[in-house]
Amino acid sequence: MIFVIDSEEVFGKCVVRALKKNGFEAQLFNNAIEAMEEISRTGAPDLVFIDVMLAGPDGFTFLNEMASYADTFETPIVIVSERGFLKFDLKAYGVVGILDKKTMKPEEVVEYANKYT
Amino acid sequence: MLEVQGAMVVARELKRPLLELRQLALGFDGNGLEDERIRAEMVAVSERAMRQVDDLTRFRELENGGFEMGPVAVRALCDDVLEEVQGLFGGKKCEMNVKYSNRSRLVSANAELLKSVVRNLLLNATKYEDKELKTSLLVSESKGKVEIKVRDFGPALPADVWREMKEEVFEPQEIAMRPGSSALGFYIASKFSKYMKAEVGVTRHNDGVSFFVKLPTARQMSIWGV
Repeated sequence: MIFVIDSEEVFGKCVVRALKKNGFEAQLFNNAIEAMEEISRTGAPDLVFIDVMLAGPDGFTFLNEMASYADTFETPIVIVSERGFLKFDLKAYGVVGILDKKTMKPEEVVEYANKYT
Repeated sequence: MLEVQGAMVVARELKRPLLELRQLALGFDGNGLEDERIRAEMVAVSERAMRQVDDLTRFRELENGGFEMGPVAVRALCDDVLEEVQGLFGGKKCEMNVKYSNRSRLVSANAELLKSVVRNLLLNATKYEDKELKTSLLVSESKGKVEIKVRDFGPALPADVWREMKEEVFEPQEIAMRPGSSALGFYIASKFSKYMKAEVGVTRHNDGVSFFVKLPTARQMSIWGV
C-alpha cells in the first residue's frame, strides 16, 4: 500500500491516479493526522508521497513521527513539493526522493513506486 | 504598475490551479494523435503560464536585493533559454533565427533574471510567428555593451505608444494595446532588466517590433582587464 498525503486534493488525486493506473494500491489523505491514524490501525505503508505544506501538522512533523517508531522509521518517503528541498539532506528521516510539483511527471511517481514497493 | 504585494497575491493565487492543471493534463488518457496533441498543448500552456507566475514571485526578492550580479556567459544562457522555450511548446517545432555576433562573451548580470528576461521576450514574440516570419534572437555588441534583441512580426505599435516607450521602461497598459499580448512578459522583463541596471528599449518596424536589452560586459573575468 502506498500513502499519498496532500492537502491539495486535485494534486493528490493525480498522484493516486498515476499509481493506480500502474497497478499499485494507493490511498489519499488530506492531512498527516489521518495518515498517522491509519498507520496505527493497519501498519506502515510500503511507500509515502507527502507534501510538506499540509493543513494541520506539516510534513516535517510527519517525518519526525515516522522516524520515531521502530515499525515506521524505515518506510521510504518521497517529498512532493513546490518548494526546493534539494539542498537539505533528509535521508535520516527516510526521505528517498524529492519531486518538484512544478516539473514532476506521473512517470516519476511510478518510478519511485517500482523501486520501493 | 503592478504593486509588488498585488503581484505576489496574484502569483500565489494562480500557482496552485496551474500546477493542478498541468498534472491533470499529464494524467489525461486520450485516444489517438489528436488527443495526444491536445494533452501536450495543455501541459505546455500551463508550463508557460507557470514560468510567468514564478517570475512574479521573485518581485519581493528584487525589492530586497536578493539577486547577486556577476559575470554571465550570454551565448550559453541564450542557448539554454532557446532549448527551454522549445520545451515550452510541447514538442511543436518552433523555429527561430538566431545570430550571435558579440565578441565579449560575458556580461554583468544575474543569470536567473537574465534567463527570465530572454524567455519572456521570446515567448511573447513567438505568438506572432508563422511559417514565413520567424522570431529572431540577435546578440551583438557595441560600445562596451552586449545587446540581446528579440524581433517579432506582431502588429505595429501606435506611434504615440512607441514614443512613450522609447522614453521609459514599458508599462503593461502600453503594450497591452498590441493584440494578442497581455504585456505581462514585457513588464517582467523590464522590471528584471532595471534591477540589473540594463538598458531596455524597443525599435519599431513596419512589420513588427524589436525589444532589446543592453548589458555591460563583465570585465572582472577578462584577461586584459579592458
